[in-house]
Amino acid sequence: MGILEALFPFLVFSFFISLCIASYRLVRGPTAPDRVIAGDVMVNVTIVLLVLLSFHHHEAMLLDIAILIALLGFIGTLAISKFLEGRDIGD
Amino acid sequence: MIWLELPGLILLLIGIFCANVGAIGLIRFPDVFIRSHAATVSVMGGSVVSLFGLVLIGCQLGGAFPVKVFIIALIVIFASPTGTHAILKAAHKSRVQMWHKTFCDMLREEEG
Repeated sequence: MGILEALFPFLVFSFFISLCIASYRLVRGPTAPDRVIAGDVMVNVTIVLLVLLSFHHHEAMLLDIAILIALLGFIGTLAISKFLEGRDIGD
Repeated sequence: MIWLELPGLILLLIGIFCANVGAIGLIRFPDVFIRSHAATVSVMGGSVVSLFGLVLIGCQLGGAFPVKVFIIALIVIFASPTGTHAILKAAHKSRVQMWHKTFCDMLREEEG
């Protein structure tokens, strides 16, 4: 566990930078599908952050939460796409 | 166990690079249909590669750690392209405005 313990702040900070950059598109997306795709990216980076945190604290429960977040993000994306199919957004 | 930790760390560094490149592409690309490519780079190259690296690192923790991380990676591999396909099909169907330099839209030509 030596290498991961030593590099843990660097790894978390790098993924957090990616999270911040993606949240710009989430806030300022011109259309609704932009926000949904940015939210999808942020969900997947959050999963990696949760797995890193679980390894750092030797806590297996956080992995169950990561599985739950992955499935809920997928279901939410499908639900919003079904909601958007009937509407006219652009043009 | 350095021979399992070092490949895992290399995969994690590749994942960090791809996640940041994909996020930069997400704010730099002009169109939702083009931005989805950057999103795929960020998810497949960033999250999935990092999760496989964490499987290798978690092998020495023992217990259920590597198996659960592998299941998370499988869920992300199957769920993310499906969600992106669904949201882009919905965006095309609801006529989201394309980039002004787009010159070919074969799906709309098929629909007539």
